[in-house]
Amino acid sequence: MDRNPQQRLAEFENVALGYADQLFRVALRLVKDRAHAEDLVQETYLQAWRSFDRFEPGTNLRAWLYKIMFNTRHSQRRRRRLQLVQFEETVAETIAYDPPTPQGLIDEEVLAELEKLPRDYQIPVVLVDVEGFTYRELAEALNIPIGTVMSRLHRGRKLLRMGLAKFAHEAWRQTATEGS
Amino acid sequence: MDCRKFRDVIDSYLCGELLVETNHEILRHVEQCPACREEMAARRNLRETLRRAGAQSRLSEEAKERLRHRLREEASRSLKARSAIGSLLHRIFSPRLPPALAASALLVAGYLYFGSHSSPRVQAAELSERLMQEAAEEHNDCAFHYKDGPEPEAMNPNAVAYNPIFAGLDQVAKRHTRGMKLRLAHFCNIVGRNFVHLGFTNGDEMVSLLITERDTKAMKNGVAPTDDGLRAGLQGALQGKYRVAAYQTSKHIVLVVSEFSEAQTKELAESLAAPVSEHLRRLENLKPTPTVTASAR
Repeated sequence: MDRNPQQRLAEFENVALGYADQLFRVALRLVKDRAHAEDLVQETYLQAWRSFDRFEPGTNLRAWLYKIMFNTRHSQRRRRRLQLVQFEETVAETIAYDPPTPQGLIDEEVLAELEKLPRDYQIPVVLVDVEGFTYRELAEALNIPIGTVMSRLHRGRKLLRMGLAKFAHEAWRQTATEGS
Repeated sequence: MDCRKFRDVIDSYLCGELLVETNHEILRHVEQCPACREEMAARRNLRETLRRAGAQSRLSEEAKERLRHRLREEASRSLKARSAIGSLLHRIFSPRLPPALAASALLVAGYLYFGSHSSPRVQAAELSERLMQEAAEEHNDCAFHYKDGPEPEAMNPNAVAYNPIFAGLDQVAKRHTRGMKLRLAHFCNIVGRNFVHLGFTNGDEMVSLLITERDTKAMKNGVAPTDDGLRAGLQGALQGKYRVAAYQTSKHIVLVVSEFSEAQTKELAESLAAPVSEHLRRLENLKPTPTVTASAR
């Protein structure tokens, strides 16, 4: 392990920097402002570099980087619990309702609805459906059991579909009214 | 499988997270139930929209540069602690100069070192995990739909319009399939990447041969490769239940995806992907690849 730090850094950059865009996209959802998101990504890479010696080759580097990012963010602010409780209830109320997914979706609609999801559901949906994480990778990155991952993902996707169906319905009503 | 269960697991199916048996149940259900067929199409469409629309933002080049800069700063700090140059500079500067100045001198030393030794980054043309994932998804999304399809007569015109060197690729591949049946020869970018996709069946099993551009996103280090791809050799990855193995040419990456074992995948790649790569290499050398204008339909 006692190699030249510069060779080590080259190695680190080689394997890790490719994920910068992906990390940035999720960082944007955690802090909602480009400058802060850039800082968060930078802090994540610095942390990762400092503990790169402890990273086991062959394990999932991408999930490890995300885990560091979530931890970094978490230690920056510690009051996140409240949100989850409220939404568990909303979800429970609507659990039986599952409208068909609308066809012909517009990018902006989908992004807007995604934005509305509570963070605890939004992040799993983003990591799997946008960034292409496997369920296992997601569990590793969020540091939660795979069962929890699957239920959050399931609910997140469902909330998203419900939002989109509502949107489609309203748009349809609007055209119907305008037409008459 | 009933409709409720189907709707519960359909997203997991689309991202390749289900067991093979469940996949079969899904396909059986979808054949019988038009409403669920429609729902599946809508969910797939939603997934594609998410993927495309959600992945737009990128870290700016300036921010990336700042990031590299900070990392090098950190590295030269440990250089200061460890290396002979560090201690030497430290000894020369620190008694006379304020620490900040000494640190910046070290920084300069760090840059000089990097400037002349920046090549280790390029070493082998390693492929990105993202590419492996996209290949597995492409296989999962497309292959199953064509499982029982009739043998295509020629490459899909879109593939040829995309790049004429793909004309006749199905014929080349067919010479090396060892009895597998060709079911699919199309051009597709369902997962946000252009793939020329040849799908085969081997009894019940599906095998995909995928060809895609060797662009920066396909490379692990995010840097455009400048070599001919020969030295990269065969690279493989396990993506969920799929195994992916890939060869590289100077312009393209040739991948095989299947559910075979590691050894079988290697053999499959050597018997099928290797000759296809050879074929592409020859054509790439004959003429420069035309600029890509066609897009998937």
